[in-house]
Amino acid sequence: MSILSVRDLRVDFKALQAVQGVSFDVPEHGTVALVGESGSGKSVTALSILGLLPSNARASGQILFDGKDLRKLSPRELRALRGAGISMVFQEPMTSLNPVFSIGFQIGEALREHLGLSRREVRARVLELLMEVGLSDPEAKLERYPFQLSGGEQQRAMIAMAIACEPKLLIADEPTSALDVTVQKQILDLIAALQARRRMAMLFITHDLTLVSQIAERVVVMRQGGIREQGTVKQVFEEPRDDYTRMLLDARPRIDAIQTRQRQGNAPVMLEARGLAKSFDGVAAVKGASFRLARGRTLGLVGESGSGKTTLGLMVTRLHEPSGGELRFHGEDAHAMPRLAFKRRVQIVFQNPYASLNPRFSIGATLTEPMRLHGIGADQAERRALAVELLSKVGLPAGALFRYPHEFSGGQRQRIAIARALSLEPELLVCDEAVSALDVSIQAQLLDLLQRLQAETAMSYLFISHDLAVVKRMADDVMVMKDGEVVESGTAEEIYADPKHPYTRTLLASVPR
Amino acid sequence: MSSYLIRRLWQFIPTLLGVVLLVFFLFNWVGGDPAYLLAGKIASPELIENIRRSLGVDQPYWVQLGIFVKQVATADFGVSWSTNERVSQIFATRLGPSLTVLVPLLFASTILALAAAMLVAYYRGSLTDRGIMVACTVGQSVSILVYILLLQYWLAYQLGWFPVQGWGSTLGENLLGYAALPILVGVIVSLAPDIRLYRTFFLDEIGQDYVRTARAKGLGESRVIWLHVLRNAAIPITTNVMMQIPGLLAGAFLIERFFSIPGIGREVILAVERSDFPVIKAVTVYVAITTMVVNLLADLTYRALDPRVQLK
Amino acid sequence: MNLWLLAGRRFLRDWVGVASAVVVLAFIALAGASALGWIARDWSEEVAVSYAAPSFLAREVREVEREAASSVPQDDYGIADPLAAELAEIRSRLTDGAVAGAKASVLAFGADKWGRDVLKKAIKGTQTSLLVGFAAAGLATLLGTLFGALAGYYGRWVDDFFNWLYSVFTSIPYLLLVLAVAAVLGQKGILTVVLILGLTGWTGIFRLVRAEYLKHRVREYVLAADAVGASDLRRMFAHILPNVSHVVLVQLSLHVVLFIKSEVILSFLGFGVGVDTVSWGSMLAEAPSELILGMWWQIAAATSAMALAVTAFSLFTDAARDALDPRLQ
Repeated sequence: MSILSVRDLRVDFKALQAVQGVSFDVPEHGTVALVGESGSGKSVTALSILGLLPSNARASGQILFDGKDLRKLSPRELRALRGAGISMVFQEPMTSLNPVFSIGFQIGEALREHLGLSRREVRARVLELLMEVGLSDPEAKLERYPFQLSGGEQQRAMIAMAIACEPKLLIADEPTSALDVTVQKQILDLIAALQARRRMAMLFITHDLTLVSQIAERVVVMRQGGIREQGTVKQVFEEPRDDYTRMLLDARPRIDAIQTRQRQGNAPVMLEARGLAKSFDGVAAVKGASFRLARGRTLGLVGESGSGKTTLGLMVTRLHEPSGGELRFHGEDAHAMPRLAFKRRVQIVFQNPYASLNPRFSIGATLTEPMRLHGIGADQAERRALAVELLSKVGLPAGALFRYPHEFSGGQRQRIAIARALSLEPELLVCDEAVSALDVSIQAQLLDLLQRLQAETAMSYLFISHDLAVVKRMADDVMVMKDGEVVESGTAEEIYADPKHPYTRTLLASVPR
Repeated sequence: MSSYLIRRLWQFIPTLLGVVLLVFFLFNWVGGDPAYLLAGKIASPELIENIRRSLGVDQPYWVQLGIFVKQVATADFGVSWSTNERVSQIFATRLGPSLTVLVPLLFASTILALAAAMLVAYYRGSLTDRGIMVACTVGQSVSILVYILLLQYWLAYQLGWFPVQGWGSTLGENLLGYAALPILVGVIVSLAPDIRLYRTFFLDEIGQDYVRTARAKGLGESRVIWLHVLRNAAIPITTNVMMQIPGLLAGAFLIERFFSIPGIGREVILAVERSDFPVIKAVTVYVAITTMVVNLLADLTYRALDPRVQLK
Repeated sequence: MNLWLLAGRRFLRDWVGVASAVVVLAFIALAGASALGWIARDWSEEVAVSYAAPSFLAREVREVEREAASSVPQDDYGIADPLAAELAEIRSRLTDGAVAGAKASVLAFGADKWGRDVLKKAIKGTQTSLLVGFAAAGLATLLGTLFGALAGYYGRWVDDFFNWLYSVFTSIPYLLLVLAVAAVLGQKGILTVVLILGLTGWTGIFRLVRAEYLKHRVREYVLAADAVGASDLRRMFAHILPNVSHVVLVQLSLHVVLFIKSEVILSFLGFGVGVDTVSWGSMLAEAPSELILGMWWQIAAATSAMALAVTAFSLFTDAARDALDPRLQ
């Protein structure tokens, strides 16, 4: 028995067709995962169920809930359904909650609206809900504003708001994507427990295939507005019929299937840090980190948000001045070296491909600028030629020279950023979450590129990431950071096979498998 | 909280010092020798010297600056050069009429502009929205002078609905009679820019994620707009309204001049026309202080309305 | 294709923006022609009778005006002037036989109290207003951008200094500051007005540019420029400034409008341009006395010229702002 039946849903935004004829069912007490990369139309599909699309969207098709076609309901009937029959949880809890009202108020609103409870009843019910979603000290939390809660707590509050009126269907749109990996697991466990206890149906939207097997029985794979494949999780995962599905499955960095790199030989130490520390306005972001990095090796730096890993990476490139400790490059004090000379040898690739290239510079200008600043290439023509070589090294055509960043995809922009870093032929490349913002299929391609480049040039990498699977693939040695401190370090093999510190263990256990 | 207040009040000093320096620079240095202005067309050298001495401008600059700082500190700016009235006296008597016009003006224009802006923001993109916005643009392109002249001419002179100009002696007489047309003109003039600004504020809020969440909860549109959106938009709107106050104080001077309202603004214009430096200096300093105080109040209000703001 | 071209394309698709751009260009052309002396050069000459009627008024009204204009001068008591014939001959010889003192009784837009052509005055006023608007806006934008860039980029004491300067200037309401400066700078004239408006009007631009620089300074493309070795100066002006320029341009446009309106007020009050030149403000200054007499064409001409110019500019600015909006990229 399906509680939700979508039939031939189409959604257009003026010229763009976001959803092109999608049909699927959600069984009455079951969970369906709606999977796809960016641009697949999964979020638009979810929003159209509750009629929450922006005003410039045109939708057609049938959406049957409990026998009624939602698209034919009057506004009042639809409103009665929202939050009561069907509820939704969104991706970004910080912006999805009203910043000027307490969470107690916001959760209570749903109760007052649909159930007409008195103030005292509402308060009691809200406290129950807060406890049910696992928020500690619910009496105090009742009065708190969203910004006073952590990301995980905010999401719990959102969930409380969604389940307040006992909906039959819960739509969760990437509810954990904005959260740290340890918190992700907690929230997923919470959602699973709630669903089991309340026997809700759930439509779970995500881009992460690894989550799907943990949480859903059925899966629907979408790409560019259409469904590529759907079926039970077992069917789709073990015997995918569609090429795209297969590609997605293969691209998953499945942590258990990845081999750690074998450390070979003894390369000379290139970079050494001792007690590096950095404070901002009295708050310590990094509290004394020490490590060594040898030529041609990759040091993986792992941690969640707030661990200080990015700050450490920026210190290594001298973009941040350390508050304490020292950094030695081939034995020399890195901070005594002249600025340009140092930057010639240490380069960085940033996380956000949409922000790391100057939108007003052509690709050619971006690539030739470092050359010009360091005196590489006798004239502009020679520099252009060198730029073309760089582009081909990262797999981009020469014509890209005259184009602008907005004409390229995220993955292509990252390649350009890598090419820019390579233009100086550095010895050390810091990759600060360099693939984290990319779709999983693109991630794999870029990691391949990085490994190939390392083999060709014997560059060392400081590879910073929160994604343990990716780090496992790339690193020879690993450092784990938490709250500004290095809690554990060792070879990749040691860390992944036999983690010693409790935090490292929690981290590894939280990775979806 | 009190440490924040003390720190902010402390910060007044360099700003006030800067204003004092600026005013001093303008009037005592750039302004040239006022003695010639005051002496009249035919003046003997002795007369000019006498005037100079009585004004104190024959002293070296730092002495003059000292005198000025003392004036600011004691709030005593001497006498007007043209009417010989004590400057502080001028202010005391002119403040009332100014406020009689400004306070109702602020209320009326804010409420009307808010209502119109909410309407327009909600029906964004519709014909009503575009029509009103175009009307605002055209409305703003006509100088305030023209509004004053025309409205005064038509409504007061031709139709006789309001007195053309002047001021009465009781509050009631003023509010209902003499201040009515000036307030009307003021409201009309400030509607267009206010509507555009408030519309932007509303649109910013309506586009936020929390509005989508509120709708997803099943809340009705009117509750979403009147409670969720308005409460958030109130933050920039309130601060904006408060920041308008110092500007209004001086900006109403055109209205005061045309309608012969004996307020501060009219004094300022007269003083500028007659090069009456003490009055202009005093007004500038007073308004600067008012602005700083109002800004502080605006910040405190902002804090009270927006829980995210931590006073540092 | 670079972002400017994209913005240009987007702009061209907005017919309101294009129409207003055309009007703005027309005004600029008008002002330019006037400045070069091709038209309206003789605006200050007495070419018509006092308060001559505009040609678009009804014929009967024009008849009445013509009657009034050609009526017997006040000081004629019916006594014949014995020297009239000789005087007439001298006059005609001096003017080479041209009909001397023939003043028009009807002009396209009428005449003011001194018989000056209102249309020509309006055109000359366009030149004044546009000149002041652009020059003052240019000055204010230059100062505001420079100060904002320095304050936003370097921070710390540089920021503190400029913020102090900003708070000093903004403690005094704009028009009051302008009037105070005008009171002090006794001499009038276009240069004075431009300086007054430009040197006091930089604060809005400063605040916006500073905010932009604060935002961009920590953006990754700036960090990346630092990583490859770009100097502070290079980062400020070669990297960040192009990304801030759309804000600056919109502000420039907005301030042109603001300064045109301020100049009108200044000239109206007598603190703006001198008597040797005309501004829409000085035209409006003659309005109160004219309205009482029922002569409304000068105020109509000045107001419509100004309204048309400012509306066109405002619509153009709105369209430009939408076209340049980085969020649409």
